[in-house]
Amino acid sequence: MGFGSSARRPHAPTLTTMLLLMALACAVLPLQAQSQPQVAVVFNLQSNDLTVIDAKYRVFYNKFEKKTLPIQGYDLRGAIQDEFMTMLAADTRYKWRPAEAEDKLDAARLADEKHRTPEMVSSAKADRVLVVDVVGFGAWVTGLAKDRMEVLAYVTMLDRATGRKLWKEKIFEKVGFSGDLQKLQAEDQKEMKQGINSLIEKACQATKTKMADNKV
Amino acid sequence: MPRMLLSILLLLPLLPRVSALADDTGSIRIKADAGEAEVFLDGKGVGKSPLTLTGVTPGAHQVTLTRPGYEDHEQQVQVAPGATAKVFVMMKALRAELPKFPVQYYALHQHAAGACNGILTVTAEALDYKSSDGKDVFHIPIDDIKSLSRSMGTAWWTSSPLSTPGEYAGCRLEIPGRSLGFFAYEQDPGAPAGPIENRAKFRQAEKTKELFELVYRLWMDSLPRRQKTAAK
Repeated sequence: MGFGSSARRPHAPTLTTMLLLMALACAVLPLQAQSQPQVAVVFNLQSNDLTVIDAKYRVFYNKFEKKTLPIQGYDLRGAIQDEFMTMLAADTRYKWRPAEAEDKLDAARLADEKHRTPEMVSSAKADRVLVVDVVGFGAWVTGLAKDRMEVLAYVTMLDRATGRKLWKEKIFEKVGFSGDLQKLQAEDQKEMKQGINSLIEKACQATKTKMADNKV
Repeated sequence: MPRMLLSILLLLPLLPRVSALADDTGSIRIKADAGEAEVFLDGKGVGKSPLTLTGVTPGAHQVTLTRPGYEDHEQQVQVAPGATAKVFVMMKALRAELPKFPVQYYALHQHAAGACNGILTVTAEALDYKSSDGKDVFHIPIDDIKSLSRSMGTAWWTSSPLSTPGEYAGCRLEIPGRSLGFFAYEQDPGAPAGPIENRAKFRQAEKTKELFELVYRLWMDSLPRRQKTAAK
């Protein structure tokens, strides 16, 4: 018996076992996915309008006007829900689904943190509840700074069993625009809708990044 | 032999990923502002928007969206291998019929301090306002309106734009050199005759919204015509 063969034999089964275990682990991964905690996602949209602050700078005084522009023919709630659900599906730590009628979740009441109670989520047929509260879409038209459109949203994860807030993230995103209100609304509000679509996409990306840091 | 088997076993889970890397198809993500619309790719129905089509052969494809109450939308999309082409479609709604003109509103016209009452008459071409005392008279052609919004007017300071519902604000139009704010309302039909500013005002929020929507529609319809004129 040679030196080489006698030295290799004791290690060979260990290596084989390790490799087999690795192969088995890879095969079992899809089974693990089935035991993901389920999260019901509720969406609250506080305003269907674009609120513009038109700021006019003069030498000795500033003049502001808050203008509300209707966002016409845009299914905002549907767009926000679709974008968020597509983004959330990529996060395999949980099984995400939009809240259904049987969950009996009131998005507007859940978004109101001061008056939220554990009972409000106890009826959910999921392990956790994610509340996406979109405060609104706004824009700034200014003489000095860059004109921009913005979105503000709060994303909160709640534990169904205890009603406890597990984490909360503030999402505030901006995109530039021409600053011309007439151009913004021309061609059936083309520039406005494109800006809002970009804001929804950016808000989703920001939520994805922030959620990745949350360990719970 | 056992080593070869082991190698095969180890490589098995990686196979789908390898095939994905070698995938020479692309994807198209299709969204529409109107929400759900029937989507056709090269004339074949593929589902309802919003959706993501995977395994699309690279090259030019014809995307068509249809929805009742809207004009059909067609556009060409270029698909690159391994990439996702994004399509955000703004569907053009078929216009609802306009009311019979002229439409008259009891209106409150904002001044820098205070307000006056009068009648605002809306036609397809212009807005005409006459106060009850006859002192304030305006003729505002729709084509002269620079911008239109719901607003309470100018202020010294205002907070973030992301928190205020605008349903109680007035209908404010900007014309060259000035801006004009109006609130529309209904009068109590049983009120005794007399100066209109003394009579009770009803349904101010609804009537102002109605006025705004009518003028906004006329203004939006005027924009393409004005852009063409400006281009000439």
